[in-house]
Amino acid sequence: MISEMLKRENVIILDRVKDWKQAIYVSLEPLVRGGYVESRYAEEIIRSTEEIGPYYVLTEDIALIHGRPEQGVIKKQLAVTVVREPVQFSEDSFPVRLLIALAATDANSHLDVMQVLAAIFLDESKIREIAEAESEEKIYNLLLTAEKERRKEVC
Amino acid sequence: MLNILTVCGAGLGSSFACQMSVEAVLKELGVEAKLDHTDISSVSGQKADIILSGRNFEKQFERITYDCPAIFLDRLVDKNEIREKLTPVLKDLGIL
Repeated sequence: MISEMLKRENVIILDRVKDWKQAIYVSLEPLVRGGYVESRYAEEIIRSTEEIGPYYVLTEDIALIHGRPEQGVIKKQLAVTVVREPVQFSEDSFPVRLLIALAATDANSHLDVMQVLAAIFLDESKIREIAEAESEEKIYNLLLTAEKERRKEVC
Repeated sequence: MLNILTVCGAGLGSSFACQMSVEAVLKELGVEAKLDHTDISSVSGQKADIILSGRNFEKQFERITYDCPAIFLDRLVDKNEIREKLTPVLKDLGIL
Protein backbone atom coordinates (compact mmCIF):
# COMPACT_ATOMS: atom_id res chain seq x y z
CA MET A 1 0.00 0.00 0.00
CA ILE A 2 1.11 3.57 -0.72
CA SER A 3 0.41 4.48 2.89
CA GLU A 4 2.91 1.83 4.01
CA MET A 5 5.52 2.36 1.31
CA LEU A 6 5.56 6.16 1.17
CA LYS A 7 6.09 8.50 4.08
CA ARG A 8 4.67 12.01 3.90
CA GLU A 9 8.08 13.55 4.62
CA ASN A 10 9.52 11.66 1.65
CA VAL A 11 7.44 13.68 -0.80
CA ILE A 12 9.56 16.63 -1.83
CA ILE A 13 9.20 19.59 -4.21
CA LEU A 14 12.32 21.20 -5.65
CA ASP A 15 12.66 24.11 -8.06
CA ARG A 16 15.40 22.51 -10.10
CA VAL A 17 18.28 20.06 -10.13
CA LYS A 18 21.68 20.67 -11.66
CA ASP A 19 21.64 17.63 -13.95
CA TRP A 20 20.31 14.07 -14.23
CA LYS A 21 22.87 12.68 -11.82
CA GLN A 22 21.80 15.10 -9.16
CA ALA A 23 18.20 14.15 -9.91
CA ILE A 24 19.10 10.55 -9.06
CA TYR A 25 20.91 11.51 -5.87
CA VAL A 26 18.18 13.80 -4.54
CA SER A 27 15.34 11.45 -5.42
CA LEU A 28 17.03 8.55 -3.63
CA GLU A 29 18.24 10.57 -0.66
CA PRO A 30 15.13 9.90 1.51
CA LEU A 31 15.54 6.15 0.93
CA VAL A 32 19.21 6.29 1.92
CA ARG A 33 18.44 8.40 4.99
CA GLY A 34 15.64 6.04 6.07
CA GLY A 35 17.87 2.97 5.74
CA TYR A 36 15.83 1.47 2.88
CA VAL A 37 18.75 1.39 0.45
CA GLU A 38 22.52 1.50 0.74
CA SER A 39 24.18 4.70 -0.42
CA ARG A 40 25.70 2.81 -3.38
CA TYR A 41 22.19 2.34 -4.86
CA ALA A 42 22.41 5.79 -6.51
CA GLU A 43 25.85 5.10 -7.97
CA GLU A 44 24.72 1.71 -9.27
CA ILE A 45 21.74 3.32 -11.03
CA ILE A 46 23.97 6.01 -12.50
CA ARG A 47 26.35 3.32 -13.78
CA SER A 48 23.46 1.35 -15.34
CA THR A 49 22.19 4.56 -16.94
CA GLU A 50 25.59 5.23 -18.47
CA GLU A 51 25.60 1.69 -19.89
CA ILE A 52 22.07 1.35 -21.25
CA GLY A 53 20.44 4.78 -21.10
CA PRO A 54 17.68 6.01 -18.83
CA TYR A 55 15.64 2.79 -18.70
CA TYR A 56 13.40 4.27 -15.97
CA VAL A 57 11.98 7.18 -18.03
CA LEU A 58 8.58 5.71 -18.80
CA THR A 59 6.94 8.56 -20.69
CA GLU A 60 6.78 12.38 -20.64
CA ASP A 61 7.23 13.68 -17.09
CA ILE A 62 7.75 10.26 -15.46
CA ALA A 63 10.93 8.64 -14.17
CA LEU A 64 10.56 5.53 -12.02
CA ILE A 65 14.09 5.52 -10.67
CA HIS A 66 15.08 2.03 -9.57
CA GLY A 67 17.77 -0.61 -9.73
CA ARG A 68 17.94 -4.30 -8.98
CA PRO A 69 17.58 -5.62 -5.42
CA GLU A 70 21.24 -6.67 -5.34
CA GLN A 71 22.34 -3.13 -6.22
CA GLY A 72 21.80 -2.09 -2.62
CA VAL A 73 18.12 -2.46 -1.68
CA ILE A 74 17.50 -3.19 2.00
CA LYS A 75 13.73 -2.82 2.34
CA LYS A 76 10.96 -1.88 -0.09
CA GLN A 77 9.98 1.78 -0.09
CA LEU A 78 9.09 4.78 -2.26
CA ALA A 79 10.07 8.43 -2.33
CA VAL A 80 8.57 11.08 -4.60
CA THR A 81 10.33 14.21 -5.82
CA VAL A 82 8.74 16.80 -8.07
CA VAL A 83 11.11 19.17 -9.87
CA ARG A 84 9.41 22.28 -11.22
CA GLU A 85 11.97 22.67 -13.99
CA PRO A 86 11.98 19.45 -16.05
CA VAL A 87 15.18 17.40 -16.07
CA GLN A 88 16.41 15.36 -19.04
CA PHE A 89 18.25 12.08 -18.44
CA SER A 90 19.66 11.84 -21.97
CA GLU A 91 19.58 13.89 -25.14
CA ASP A 92 16.81 11.86 -26.72
CA SER A 93 14.71 11.11 -23.63
CA PHE A 94 11.61 12.91 -22.41
CA PRO A 95 11.82 15.86 -20.01
CA VAL A 96 10.71 14.74 -16.55
CA ARG A 97 9.17 16.52 -13.56
CA LEU A 98 7.97 13.57 -11.50
CA LEU A 99 10.75 11.45 -10.03
CA ILE A 100 9.54 8.33 -8.25
CA ALA A 101 12.31 6.48 -6.45
CA LEU A 102 11.56 2.80 -5.96
CA ALA A 103 13.34 0.30 -3.76
CA ALA A 104 12.02 -3.18 -4.54
CA THR A 105 13.25 -6.39 -2.94
CA ASP A 106 12.02 -8.74 -5.65
CA ALA A 107 10.00 -8.77 -8.88
CA ASN A 108 6.51 -8.89 -7.41
CA SER A 109 6.03 -7.99 -3.75
CA HIS A 110 5.35 -4.33 -4.58
CA LEU A 111 2.45 -5.30 -6.90
CA ASP A 112 -0.25 -3.24 -5.14
CA VAL A 113 1.82 -0.06 -5.23
CA MET A 114 2.70 -0.61 -8.88
CA GLN A 115 -0.99 -0.93 -9.71
CA VAL A 116 -1.65 2.49 -8.21
CA LEU A 117 1.38 4.03 -9.94
CA ALA A 118 0.44 2.41 -13.26
CA ALA A 119 -3.04 3.94 -13.06
CA ILE A 120 -1.41 7.36 -12.61
CA PHE A 121 1.10 6.78 -15.43
CA LEU A 122 -1.77 6.06 -17.83
CA ASP A 123 -3.49 9.33 -17.04
CA GLU A 124 -1.82 12.48 -18.37
CA SER A 125 -4.11 14.75 -16.40
CA LYS A 126 -3.17 13.01 -13.13
CA ILE A 127 0.52 13.27 -13.95
CA ARG A 128 0.09 16.98 -14.58
CA GLU A 129 -1.91 17.44 -11.41
CA ILE A 130 0.88 15.88 -9.34
CA ALA A 131 3.68 17.71 -11.17
CA GLU A 132 1.93 21.05 -10.68
CA ALA A 133 0.50 20.54 -7.18
CA GLU A 134 1.18 23.53 -4.93
CA SER A 135 2.37 21.60 -1.89
CA GLU A 136 4.00 18.35 -0.84
CA GLU A 137 0.95 17.61 1.31
CA LYS A 138 -1.24 17.90 -1.79
CA ILE A 139 0.95 15.47 -3.76
CA TYR A 140 0.87 12.95 -0.93
CA ASN A 141 -2.91 13.20 -0.75
CA LEU A 142 -3.25 12.82 -4.53
CA LEU A 143 -1.32 9.56 -4.29
CA LEU A 144 -3.45 8.29 -1.42
CA THR A 145 -6.59 9.23 -3.35
CA ALA A 146 -5.32 7.34 -6.40
CA GLU A 147 -4.92 4.29 -4.19
CA LYS A 148 -8.46 4.61 -2.83
CA GLU A 149 -9.88 4.96 -6.36
CA ARG A 150 -7.97 1.92 -7.49
CA ARG A 151 -9.35 -0.14 -4.57
CA LYS A 152 -12.88 0.92 -5.34
CA GLU A 153 -12.41 -0.36 -8.89
CA VAL A 154 -11.24 -3.74 -7.65
CA CYS A 155 -13.92 -4.26 -5.00
CA MET B 1 -3.07 -19.09 -23.57
CA LEU B 2 -1.10 -16.23 -25.09
CA ASN B 3 2.06 -15.40 -23.11
CA ILE B 4 3.26 -11.81 -23.11
CA LEU B 5 6.53 -10.80 -21.49
CA THR B 6 7.60 -7.24 -20.70
CA VAL B 7 11.30 -6.68 -20.25
CA CYS B 8 13.59 -4.07 -18.70
CA GLY B 9 17.02 -3.96 -17.10
CA ALA B 10 15.98 -4.75 -13.56
CA GLY B 11 12.78 -6.69 -14.25
CA LEU B 12 10.75 -5.08 -11.50
CA GLY B 13 10.06 -1.41 -12.25
CA SER B 14 9.76 -0.30 -15.85
CA SER B 15 8.77 -3.75 -17.09
CA PHE B 16 6.20 -4.07 -14.29
CA ALA B 17 4.64 -0.68 -15.14
CA CYS B 18 4.68 -1.64 -18.84
CA GLN B 19 2.97 -4.96 -18.05
CA MET B 20 0.10 -3.09 -16.41
CA SER B 21 -0.35 -0.79 -19.38
CA VAL B 22 -0.32 -3.79 -21.73
CA GLU B 23 -2.91 -5.41 -19.47
CA ALA B 24 -5.14 -2.33 -19.81
CA VAL B 25 -4.81 -2.39 -23.62
CA LEU B 26 -5.59 -6.13 -23.83
CA LYS B 27 -8.68 -5.61 -21.71
CA GLU B 28 -9.90 -2.97 -24.17
CA LEU B 29 -9.17 -5.28 -27.09
CA GLY B 30 -10.89 -8.18 -25.35
CA VAL B 31 -7.80 -10.37 -25.55
CA GLU B 32 -6.94 -12.78 -22.76
CA ALA B 33 -3.28 -13.38 -22.02
CA LYS B 34 -0.89 -14.43 -19.32
CA LEU B 35 1.44 -11.54 -18.56
CA ASP B 36 4.76 -11.44 -16.78
CA HIS B 37 7.77 -9.15 -16.45
CA THR B 38 11.45 -9.95 -16.28
CA ASP B 39 14.97 -8.60 -16.70
CA ILE B 40 16.78 -8.85 -19.99
CA SER B 41 19.29 -11.45 -18.79
CA SER B 42 16.43 -13.89 -18.02
CA VAL B 43 14.58 -13.54 -21.35
CA SER B 44 16.19 -16.52 -23.10
CA GLY B 45 14.85 -19.03 -20.61
CA GLN B 46 11.28 -17.77 -20.60
CA LYS B 47 8.26 -18.83 -22.59
CA ALA B 48 6.72 -15.95 -24.52
CA ASP B 49 4.61 -15.38 -27.62
CA ILE B 50 5.23 -11.63 -27.68
CA ILE B 51 7.91 -9.54 -25.98
CA LEU B 52 7.62 -5.82 -25.24
CA SER B 53 10.51 -3.68 -24.10
CA GLY B 54 11.91 -0.17 -24.19
CA ARG B 55 13.55 1.30 -27.26
CA ASN B 56 16.84 1.59 -25.34
CA PHE B 57 17.01 -2.21 -25.06
CA GLU B 58 16.68 -2.88 -28.79
CA LYS B 59 20.44 -3.25 -29.27
CA GLN B 60 20.78 -5.65 -26.35
CA PHE B 61 18.04 -7.83 -27.80
CA GLU B 62 20.23 -8.38 -30.87
CA ARG B 63 22.65 -10.24 -28.64
CA ILE B 64 20.22 -12.66 -27.00
CA THR B 65 18.19 -15.58 -28.30
CA TYR B 66 14.43 -15.41 -28.28
CA ASP B 67 11.92 -16.96 -30.55
CA CYS B 68 8.94 -14.61 -30.85
CA PRO B 69 8.02 -11.13 -32.12
CA ALA B 70 9.49 -8.26 -30.10
CA ILE B 71 7.99 -4.77 -29.84
CA PHE B 72 10.10 -1.80 -28.77
CA LEU B 73 8.37 1.17 -27.19
CA ASP B 74 9.36 4.82 -26.83
CA ARG B 75 6.85 5.21 -24.00
CA LEU B 76 6.54 2.08 -21.90
CA VAL B 77 3.25 3.11 -20.33
CA ASP B 78 1.49 4.76 -23.28
CA LYS B 79 -1.69 2.85 -24.11
CA ASN B 80 -1.96 4.40 -27.58
CA GLU B 81 1.56 3.42 -28.59
CA ILE B 82 1.11 -0.07 -27.12
CA ARG B 83 -2.22 -0.55 -28.93
CA GLU B 84 -0.78 0.72 -32.21
CA LYS B 85 2.21 -1.62 -32.12
CA LEU B 86 0.58 -4.63 -30.50
CA THR B 87 -2.52 -4.86 -32.71
CA PRO B 88 -0.70 -5.88 -35.94
CA VAL B 89 1.29 -8.51 -34.03
CA LEU B 90 -1.89 -9.94 -32.52
CA LYS B 91 -3.38 -10.03 -36.02
CA ASP B 92 -0.30 -11.83 -37.37
CA LEU B 93 -0.65 -14.43 -34.64
CA GLY B 94 -4.31 -14.89 -35.55
CA ILE B 95 -5.55 -13.67 -32.19
CA LEU B 96 -7.37 -10.61 -33.49
